[in-house]
Amino acid sequence: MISKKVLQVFLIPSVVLISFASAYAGLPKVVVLGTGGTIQSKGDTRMTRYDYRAGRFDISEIIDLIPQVKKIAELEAEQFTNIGSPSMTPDIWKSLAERINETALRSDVSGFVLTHGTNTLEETAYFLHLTVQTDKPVVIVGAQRPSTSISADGPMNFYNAVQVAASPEARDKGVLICMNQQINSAREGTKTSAYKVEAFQSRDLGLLGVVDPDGVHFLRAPVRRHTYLSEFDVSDISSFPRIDVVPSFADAAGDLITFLASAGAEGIVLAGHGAGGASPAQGEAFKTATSNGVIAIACSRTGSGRVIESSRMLEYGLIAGDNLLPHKARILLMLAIASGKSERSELIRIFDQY
Amino acid sequence: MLNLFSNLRRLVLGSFILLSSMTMSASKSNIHVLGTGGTISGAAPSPEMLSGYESGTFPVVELLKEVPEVSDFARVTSEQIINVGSGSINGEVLLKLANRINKLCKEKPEIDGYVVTHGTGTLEETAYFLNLTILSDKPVVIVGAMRPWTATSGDGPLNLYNAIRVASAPESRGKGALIVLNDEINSARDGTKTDTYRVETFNSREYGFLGYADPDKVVYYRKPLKRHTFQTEFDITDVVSLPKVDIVYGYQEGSRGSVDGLVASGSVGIIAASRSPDISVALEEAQRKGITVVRSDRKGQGRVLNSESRLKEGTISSDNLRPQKARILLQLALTKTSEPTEIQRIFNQY
Repeated sequence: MISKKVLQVFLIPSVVLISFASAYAGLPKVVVLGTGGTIQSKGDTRMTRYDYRAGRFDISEIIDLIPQVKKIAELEAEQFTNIGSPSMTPDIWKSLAERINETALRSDVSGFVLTHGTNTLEETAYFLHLTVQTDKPVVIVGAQRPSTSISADGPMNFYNAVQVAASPEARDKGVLICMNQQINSAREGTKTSAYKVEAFQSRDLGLLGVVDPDGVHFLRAPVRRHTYLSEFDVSDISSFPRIDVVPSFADAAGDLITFLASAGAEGIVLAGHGAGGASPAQGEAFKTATSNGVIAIACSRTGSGRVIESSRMLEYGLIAGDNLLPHKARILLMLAIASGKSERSELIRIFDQY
Repeated sequence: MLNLFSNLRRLVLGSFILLSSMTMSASKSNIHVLGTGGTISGAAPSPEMLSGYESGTFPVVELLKEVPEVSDFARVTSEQIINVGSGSINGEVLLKLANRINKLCKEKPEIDGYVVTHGTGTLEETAYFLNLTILSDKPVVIVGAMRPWTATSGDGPLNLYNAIRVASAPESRGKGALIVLNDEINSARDGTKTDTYRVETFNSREYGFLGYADPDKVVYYRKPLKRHTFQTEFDITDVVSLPKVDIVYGYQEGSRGSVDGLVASGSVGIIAASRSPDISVALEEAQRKGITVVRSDRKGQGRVLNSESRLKEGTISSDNLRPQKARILLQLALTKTSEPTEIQRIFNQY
């Protein structure tokens, strides 16, 4: 590792040179699974940067936009599905996880790259972070501009994602989100801007590393359980429970909670004000729902910081969601319930470990 | 991650307090606090005064008396290394401090962790020095305050309490030297002061916190990957003094005067916090005289890349180290070698 870094310094800024060097040694094989999103989208003109509905590129066409990527890795690409990220579902997550788990057993495969729409990218990333049973890099990449756009970010993001997936340093770091030359952990990485290319950040907890012109550099490793350290096995899961997210705000009524409980939600995540706060009416509604068996997790709408169990949460039947964003707590709860772990004590342990 | 302590915690569900009193009465940790001064030891004439105070007024033993709650979980001992504002910390103090902690690590294995009180102005430099020279995986926590000890709503008492908690936490071992202020745990390598007065002044720019000292517990989400503490190659036991390394600042039309002045005054290393054409020329000349030049940057985050040709000429790049941290690393590197490729390896690894 050390000597490789020194080698990289010598070869700067010639990523291309490094590529040739590794070509002699045999290129690492990266499996690319396309799922769609803005990175695979087409706009009518090169100025179309929103409301692009001119169809989608096949994953092979994305590779053709940056053919130099073939000099850094041998790609095995497949269009797994081709949808916008709002259409992503737990069933697709499960089949993605199963595909990665089975492919990761192949000794010739070094890593994985998934293209994805950015809006729910972090949810797919966290699902895979919890269910992929390999220490090989799994990198999720998207774009903020369609790949037909002027100054499209997609091709470089894709190139960088392949660099990360092919990098030995990326092993054992959980699922990674790679955009804008930055590497975020799937657990904390979140979209923080509607249009800007630096949309993905991990708030307080920062990046794990960067992809600079001289290569991939990691400064941090995540310490919570993930991927091959996870207890969740999707092959044991036949269906996913319905889990919803409810926002809190001043004077929020409790009826949404009551309605979701009656509509079959097995779990409800509160996007609470402050450290997991609910309005009094919501608190009463949670009390009823949880006494009827609905599981409720308290998270925060603030975007960073932990939620710690309080006496009021105990009174309402809420379990503290640590620092998970509400939509990520939803994924963890979904997997816990689907794995038959719905006991309060089990859930407290799970939210403490993942 | 799956250690016994956290498993135990899970079993005693929800009852953190119960657990605390259980483990604490069973075994309190031994924490040694070394005072160096700073705002946290500062005294102002009146509690509303957040400036115009005297740094390094109270000895550390007095600060500890005002946070008696630490005795719930720790047996605390202390000593005063020096009592000054952080601007007065120098190589002599750094060596004394690091040697003292290393000696205690060897001679007093019963000490579980160390806390250093420090002024915030150069706290990150001392922290990085300890990150590079303490040959132990025991927690070393550097703490300061943005408001003097005498201030109303002073941050010092809670920061000191939290620093002792972090030093006591088994999860803090092996994470390198840590900076703790404002409930936040920064790595000594990346943590930097980003504001002149606010209590949330320390952060690690794009790399973020390693974890938090929250009201319920100390919690980590990240560990640092660059070499530090017990993985370091820098043994300063026999280092008598640190080499003179200085920083020049680059700006439009930056003159070469500062470089020439440093060369004349005997600097053996110069860190360039960005450059100008004139500064570049002066640095090249300095390099030819045997002075080690490291290219850093004034922007506050991001890496500086090197090239083969530049390295051949002897120029080293600082990776993403801030100029003041690159200075510390170069001082330590120069105690071992002046070979550019070797120094570049050191900058790549630490």
